[in-house]
Amino acid sequence: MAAYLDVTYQGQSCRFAMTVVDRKRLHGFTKRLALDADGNECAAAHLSRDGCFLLSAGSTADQYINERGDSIPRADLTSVDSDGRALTTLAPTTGRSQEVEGPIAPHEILDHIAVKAHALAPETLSPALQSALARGAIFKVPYRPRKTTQPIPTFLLANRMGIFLVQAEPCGFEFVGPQHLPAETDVWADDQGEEFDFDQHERWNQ
Amino acid sequence: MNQRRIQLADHRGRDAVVALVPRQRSGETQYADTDGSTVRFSRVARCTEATGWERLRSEHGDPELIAHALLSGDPEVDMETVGREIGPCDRVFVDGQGKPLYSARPVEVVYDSTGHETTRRDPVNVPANLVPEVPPVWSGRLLSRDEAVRRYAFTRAYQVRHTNALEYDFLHGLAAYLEQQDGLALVGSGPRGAGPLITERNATPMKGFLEGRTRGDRYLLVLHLAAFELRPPEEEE
Repeated sequence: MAAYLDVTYQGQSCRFAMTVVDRKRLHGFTKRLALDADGNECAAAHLSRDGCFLLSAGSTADQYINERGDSIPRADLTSVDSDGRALTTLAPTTGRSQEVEGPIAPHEILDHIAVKAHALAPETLSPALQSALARGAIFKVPYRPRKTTQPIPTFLLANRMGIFLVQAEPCGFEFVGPQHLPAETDVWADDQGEEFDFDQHERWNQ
Repeated sequence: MNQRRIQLADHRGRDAVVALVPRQRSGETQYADTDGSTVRFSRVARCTEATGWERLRSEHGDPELIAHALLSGDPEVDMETVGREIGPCDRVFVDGQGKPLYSARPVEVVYDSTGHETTRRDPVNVPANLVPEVPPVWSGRLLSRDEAVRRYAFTRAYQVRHTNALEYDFLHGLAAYLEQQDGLALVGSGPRGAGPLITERNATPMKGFLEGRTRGDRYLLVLHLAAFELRPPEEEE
């Protein structure tokens, strides 16, 4: 089922069909497989560090447990901040028209990284919004595909290829002076999701 | 601590190896139960290779026999293991019988944008190129902020930081220049400084752009990495 974005600009409603845009869909992708001696594809599994358990896909279950060790159903979980205070849950915006905000300056996007992008195909597009986007205006849109406790900065913009919705996360960078040196704790957290380590193969064969 | 570094050239023909700092994620949301007691994530074993479907199928063959075995002896449940919390694990590869392999041959499969396999080849390790063997080149190519944000999806950003006074002088000057030009400078590899950046071995090649701002003696220099250009995917025929 196609997803839609409904927005309002200067009192006029617009509706867009959304299509996810990412590198895979634009340029293709590569995947590394492992083959056994007969050339058959191997499956990945996890071996516990004590060597006792070999866990293939689907052989684990995720759960949340409290301090007493009881398993807590997801429906009973409450979002809290680091001090234990309950956070307000923001309802999804799906199916409800949202007023676009802006235009904003380009550096506001540069203070974020894109985490998801959609190409928008207009089903209804007001002349005012179309004209503003064509002039290069960038807008913020309240957009939450599901309920969340954190607002998701989302930008509506256009280029000569089309109209796009970009979901983002803030970078949080601060200006630094001569006395500000990088902390030792500044590790590359962003890279922990990289593809798996094929050094295993090299280590096994040593 | 292993601080990431990048070698940058500037508009004055100078270059330096400086620090790259990742963005700091805002406080992660935590969860509590209905009593306000904090909860933590836990991963537990549901079955093992010895009690999984593949093993049952290879041992009993016919589904009728598997059903009979389930009713009579609970071979799908290992009472010693099920529900046990899983600690750190290593990734291994298993063959069709679920046995771990001690040597596997890696192969790289290439898929097109529609997800169809196009070729298979032996994988080649591509090294990172943030600190190249020869000094990098200032590309001299500037893109306005407005055009950059509407053309590219910047999926990663790193703050470029100094670790000594000389680097501070270099980076502050570069940030001031970029602010004055009101644009982002293309930063890349190769003889013209316009090739893709590879942040670590076998990482996705990305286009890099430097953005600079200053406030007095303070500066903000950010390396924005674009994984792709914003354009609609081609429709599959």
